Amino acid sequence: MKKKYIIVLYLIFVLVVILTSSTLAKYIKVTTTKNTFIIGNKLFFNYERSDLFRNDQLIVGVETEYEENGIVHKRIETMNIMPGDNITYHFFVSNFNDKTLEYNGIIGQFIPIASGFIALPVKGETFDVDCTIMYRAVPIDGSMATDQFTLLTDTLVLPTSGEQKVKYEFVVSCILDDQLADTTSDDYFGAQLSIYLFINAASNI
Amino acid sequence: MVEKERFYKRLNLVLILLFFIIIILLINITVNPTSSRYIKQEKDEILASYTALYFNSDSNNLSLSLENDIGHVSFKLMNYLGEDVTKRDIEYVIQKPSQFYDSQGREITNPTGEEDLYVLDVWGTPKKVGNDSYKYQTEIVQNDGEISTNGNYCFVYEPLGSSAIGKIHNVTIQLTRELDSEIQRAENVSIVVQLIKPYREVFIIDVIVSNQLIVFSNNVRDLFETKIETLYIQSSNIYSHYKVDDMFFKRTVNIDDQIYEYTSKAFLVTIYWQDLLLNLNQLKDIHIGIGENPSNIDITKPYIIGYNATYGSGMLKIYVPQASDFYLDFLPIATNYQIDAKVEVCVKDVLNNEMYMIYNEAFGGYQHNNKDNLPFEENSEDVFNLITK
Repeated sequence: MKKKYIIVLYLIFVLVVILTSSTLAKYIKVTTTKNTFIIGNKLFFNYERSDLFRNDQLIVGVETEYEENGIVHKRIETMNIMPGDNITYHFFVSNFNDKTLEYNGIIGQFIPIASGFIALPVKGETFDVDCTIMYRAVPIDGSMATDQFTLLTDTLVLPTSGEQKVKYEFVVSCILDDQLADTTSDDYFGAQLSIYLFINAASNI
Repeated sequence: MVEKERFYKRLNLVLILLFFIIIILLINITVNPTSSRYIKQEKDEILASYTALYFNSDSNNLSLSLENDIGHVSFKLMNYLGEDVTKRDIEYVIQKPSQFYDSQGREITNPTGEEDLYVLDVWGTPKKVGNDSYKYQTEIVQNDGEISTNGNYCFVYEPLGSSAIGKIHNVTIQLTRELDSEIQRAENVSIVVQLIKPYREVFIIDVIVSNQLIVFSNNVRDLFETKIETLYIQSSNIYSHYKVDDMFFKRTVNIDDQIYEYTSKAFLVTIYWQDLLLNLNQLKDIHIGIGENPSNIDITKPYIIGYNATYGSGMLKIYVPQASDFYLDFLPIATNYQIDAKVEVCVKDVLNNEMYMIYNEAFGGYQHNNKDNLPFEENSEDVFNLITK
C-alpha cells in the first residue's frame, strides 16, 4: 500500500514539474535580433538614411562607426548646433530592398522610437530632449510624395512584400531647448546632443 | 493503526490538491498556448556637437558727457573672441530693455534708480545692468555692419577653412535721457545688445553718464591674458554754450559774485599714476602737441603737452578739447595702485581775461583735494582720485 502511494506521489511530482516548467516558459521572453531565420520566411524591413537639417537648412552629416563592448555601432556626426536649434533627421523604412533582394515574408508591425539627450561636460550633467516622429507613406516608384506628415503615435503595419510593397518616410524632430534649467551660455562649451533611433519590428504570430 | 489511517487520509488530501493543481495548469496551457514571435531591431545614432557663441566688444565702462539729455558713445562689436570665431550668423538689436528685474528674477515695475536692476538672458538668469538704465532710450545712429533680411544688424557667417571670418562692426549709439528731472549725479547706464540669432542672449556694455563737461571712467580688461586698467575720457560737444529748445545760451558760473564764462578751449588734464605703466604706444595715436599753442581752438583731438615717467609712476599733461573720446591703458605692476587727476577748465572773467581754473564743484566739476608726493611734482597739488586699488 505504502509503495503504491510512493509511486503515485513520484509520478504526480514529475508531472507537476513538467507542467509548471512548460507554463512558466511562456513568460520567459526570448528575443533575437538576427536578420535571418533558418526555417521559413523571415521578418524584414529596410532602413534607409536620408538628410539631416538644422533649422530647415540641409547640413552635413558624416557617417561614422564606433565599437562598444565588441559591437560596432553606426552613427551620423554633425557639428555647429546651438541652443534653440531645430534638428530634423529624415529616414525611410520599407518592407523590401530591391538591391539586396531581401523581402519581408511575415506579416508584422513596426515602430520607430527616438530619444535624445544633451551632455554638458562643463556642468557635468545631461538633459533629456524631447523628440517627435512624423511619418508619411511615399510611392515606391521614387516619385514625389504628396501626403502630409502625420504624428506617429502607434505601430505601423508591416505587410509581406508579396502582399504589398510599402515605404514610409519618417522625420525625427528634436527642438533643442534654449532654456534648460540652471544653465548659462558658458555651460554649452563642448556640449553634445545625442539622438538614439530604434526601429522595432515584430511578427504578428 | 489509527495513526496509519490518519496518515493515509492526509496523503489522500494532498493527492487531491495536487490533482487540482494539475488540472488548473492543464487549463492554463490550453487557454494560453506558448507562442513565439519574430523580432527585428535596427539602431542608429546622431551625434551633434555644439558650437560656441563668441561675441565681444572692445569697450566697457565707457564715459559719456550728456548734453541736452543726449549723448553718444562709440564702440566696436566683434563676432570673435581671440582666435575663436562664431560659426553662425549673429543678428542683434540695441534698444532699451522693455522690462527690468531684481536679482531674483522678479519684475520691477517702477524703478527709482536706487535699486539694482537686472535683465534676463535666455536662460532666465538675471544679468546686472546700470541702476539708471531705465531712464535712457538707446538707438543705433551709425553702424557699418551688414543688415539681415529682417532689417537688423547682422554678422553674416562666412566660412574660412574650418573656422570663420572674424568681423567688426563700428557702432555709435545715441543715449537719450527720458526723465524730466535734472541729472544730479553721474548715472550708471547699460547698453543692452540683444542677440536674436543664433539664439537670444544679452550682451551688456556699461556707460557712466554725466552732465559734467568732462567724464572719466575706468575698467579692468583682459588683453592677451594680461589685466589692463583702462581709463576712458570723454568730453562734452560744446564747452562754451548749452542748448535749450534749439536755442544756444552762454555757459556761465557765479563764484563769490564773480561771473565766469566758459570758453571753447580745451580742458587741461594732468594725470598722475603710481605702480602702473602707461602704454606709450597709445600716445602715438593721440596728437602729440608738445610745443604747440595750447589755446589753439581748431585742434579737434587731444594733444599732449607734457609727459614724464619712471618705472611704476608718471605724469601726463594733456589738453582735452570738445567732443573728445579716447582711453589710456595702464599695466599694473603691483596689487595696489592709483591714478589721480587735476582737471582745469578755461574760463574768462568779465574783463575777458582767460584763465585756467580747477574744474571743481563750483564749476559743476569734481571735488579736488590737496595731495603731496605726486610723481614729478615738487609741491602739493589739488587733485581728485580716479582709481585706487
